[in-house]
Amino acid sequence: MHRHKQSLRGHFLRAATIGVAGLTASLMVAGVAAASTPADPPGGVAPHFYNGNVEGIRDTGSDTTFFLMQRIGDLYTGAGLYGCTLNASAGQTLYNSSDPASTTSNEEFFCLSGQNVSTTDVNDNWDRTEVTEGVDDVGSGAGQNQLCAALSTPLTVDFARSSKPSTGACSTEVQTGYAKDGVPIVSYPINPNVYGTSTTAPYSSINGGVVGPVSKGWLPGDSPAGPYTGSPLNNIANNDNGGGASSTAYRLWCATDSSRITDWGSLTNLGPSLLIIKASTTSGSPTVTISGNFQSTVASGQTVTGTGIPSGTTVSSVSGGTLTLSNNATATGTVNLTITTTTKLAVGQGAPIGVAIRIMGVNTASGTEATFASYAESGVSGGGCSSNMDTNAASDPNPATDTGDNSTPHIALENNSDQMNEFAVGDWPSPDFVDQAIEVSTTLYIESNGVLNTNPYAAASTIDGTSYSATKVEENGSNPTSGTELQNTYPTARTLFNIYLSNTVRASTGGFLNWICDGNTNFSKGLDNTTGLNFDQELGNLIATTFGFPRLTDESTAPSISTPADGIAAPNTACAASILVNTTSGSDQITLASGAFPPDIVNAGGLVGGGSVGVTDANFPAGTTVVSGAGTSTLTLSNNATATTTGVSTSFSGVPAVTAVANPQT
Amino acid sequence: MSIRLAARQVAASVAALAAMGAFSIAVLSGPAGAAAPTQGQSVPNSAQPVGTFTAGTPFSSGQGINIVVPANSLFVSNSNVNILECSAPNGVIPTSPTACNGDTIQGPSVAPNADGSINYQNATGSLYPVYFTPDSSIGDTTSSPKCGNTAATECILFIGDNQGDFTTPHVWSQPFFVNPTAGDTGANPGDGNLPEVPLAILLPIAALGIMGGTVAVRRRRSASRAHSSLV
Repeated sequence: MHRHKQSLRGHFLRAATIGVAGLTASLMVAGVAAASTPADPPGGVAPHFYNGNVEGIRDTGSDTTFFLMQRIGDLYTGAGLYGCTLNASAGQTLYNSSDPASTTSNEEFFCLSGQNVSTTDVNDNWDRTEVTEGVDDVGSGAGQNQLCAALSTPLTVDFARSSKPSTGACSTEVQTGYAKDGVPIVSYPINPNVYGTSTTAPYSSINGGVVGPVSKGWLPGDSPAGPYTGSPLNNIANNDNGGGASSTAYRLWCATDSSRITDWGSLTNLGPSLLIIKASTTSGSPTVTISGNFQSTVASGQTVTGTGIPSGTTVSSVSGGTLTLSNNATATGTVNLTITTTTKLAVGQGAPIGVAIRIMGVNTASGTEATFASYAESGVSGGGCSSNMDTNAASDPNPATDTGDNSTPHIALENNSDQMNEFAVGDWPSPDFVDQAIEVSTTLYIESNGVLNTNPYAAASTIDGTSYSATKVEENGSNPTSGTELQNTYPTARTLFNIYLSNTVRASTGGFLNWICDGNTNFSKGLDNTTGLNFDQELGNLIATTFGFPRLTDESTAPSISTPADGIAAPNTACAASILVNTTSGSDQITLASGAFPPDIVNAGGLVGGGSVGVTDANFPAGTTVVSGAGTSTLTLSNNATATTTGVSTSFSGVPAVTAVANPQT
Repeated sequence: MSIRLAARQVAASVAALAAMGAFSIAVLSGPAGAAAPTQGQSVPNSAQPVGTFTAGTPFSSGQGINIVVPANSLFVSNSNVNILECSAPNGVIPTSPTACNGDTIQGPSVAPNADGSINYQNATGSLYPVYFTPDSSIGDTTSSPKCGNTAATECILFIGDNQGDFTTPHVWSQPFFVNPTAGDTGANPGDGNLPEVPLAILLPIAALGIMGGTVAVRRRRSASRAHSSLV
């Protein structure tokens, strides 16, 4: 550390000397034009942590954020085109005096001191860092484990992409949350009948193989083209029917006992035109029986229709699985009846229709899966989804192909609906498109809302060349929007993070993560000479529009709901600096246990545009800001503390998350 | 103010005056019988206020509106469409996805009907909320695309398959304006138009212009005849 300070001091002196000399000479020679040549930026300190070394940094983990981070990484790497001037011969003076001497064998390794040119950009990757994304072990949990060396990795991991919070894979994980997302349930409203009639078991037994779009409310007996007498699947809740293990979500994904929902009728056959399948009638008898009980909405006086039931017949009485009609049946057999009820059943309480629900499993290393497993678990302690959401994942329905590698439950990678048809093709080899369509149309999957909104291909499943968009199913009656995700009112709202280790984070990593977190508040990003747009505009456009994730910055405010209904915290302020400070009741000053506050916690009016750094601390009133003391061990604030404490977590709005790196100058 | 904008304001004022000033309207139907929109076309009256609103007033941030597109050959029922706000200064249709604001994309899935037509309210059971942007409550930053109540911040809705690729099937709403509203409550809803310039002012000005032009033409002709007679 001592050596670093000496190096930095020496650098600053040299930079100042060269800068002044250079500026003087430039003014004499070139006049106004040379005044635009920027001075070397400060070294080794937040927010950029420049060290003058060309480095490569690599992230791994989340699939949800993989493509987004590729684009952000490319944008940042591209910004380096206008970075520092690199050493090109032996003996040149380097920006970082801690670096080895410039030689012919390390040309292009290091930034030169005082050699910026008019086009040099000192706020956007001046160090010329190169960012890459790993794909060797996909998933947020895997990425965090690799970062923490809890899982082997073929290449170095500098930070983890994660669509779920830190798992505590190691104690020094720090998360920077730069965007929000949601994990909607999706269904596939395909009409399989456009591909014909199924002639293969088990699907040939559904309505004689004539199958319509079940998620749109098609019931056996309805025309596949409509209209449909069932209810479209619009909502699956984790808090209905009393919540917990009684919720529809739990019963679908997590329950393994008799409460498990396995039939589409539970979701869509709700009445008032209630279909009762496999009812036993006896010619000359008014008694009808079914396996199980009639639904609670079936009552005397309701009209009953069906094969062998005389016109005008009504329910005389109902008890358990036995119905007494007002007329005798005219035939003996097992038939489908329709009872016109006066009220509708709740989702999850419907009568079976003989169409199995297919739960698609999802890669258990992913944050998407972890988020939804927690939602489906519905607050049950140690329930069926306590490990993952794949408890009830469906297997190949075709006995002929349900063998070998294809005999295990289908587990898809997260966030790609196209896999539904890929599994279906494996189960029902082409040209059996009708059975492929039935398999996909009876499947429930989950997928990142950002992906669904921005990638039509990954948001659709294809049958015989025709693409069918996935349809979002509401969760607890809510749809995913920027507002509901930011406010955590959407049940599976989640924060998208980049996670680093405070004890090993490199300067180049810290600078990159801060560049993402700051929205032209702490420092001004420059113009992208390739596009003519400001880098921050490009960054925001990538996150919000190209990839569909509402952006979080170091100025984002905390939502009133910190934890959505899925039970996983989804913070909005994790892109802002957070430091443990000491407070004294009645004092407007805060201190650190040791060291100094980072210089990017600027004095009053020091933010871009003249704003002040906001302070969120349990011991200070709302609206408190930093007044003075930037870069020292004591900050003076605009209000007095209400309590005396040590080590209280304090958030600094307008200051990006990474305030220190492990080795600033190496 | 552009001629086009002025013309639109005149049209708005005509509509407003025809209904005796500010009033309430219940939109009962879409553009029945309207021509089938084509790729990239701006569809008139496709962004429709619903319920009670004040004509000749920009939409109010947070106001729920319906999106109605007539039958067409662009959209198919098995491919959902996305709807989001894009910046359209002076009502000019955007040419780059960077003009669009992903923070304003609709929540529920929107499936076109079998004939390609779209009715947001029918498809989702809800209304599309329009926002004055940038709006931090939906995640915008200062550099997010602007939708407001000036010609420079005029707004338009992208309605199509892929907002990141303008070569895929899409149409645009009519350009419109949005007023900022605290809390995005949609209070004081409008129809997306700027306040009308009253005809009581415009008509005399137009009449004066016509009269002036007529006088100028006559003088020029008279001068021309005089010149001819001298030659």
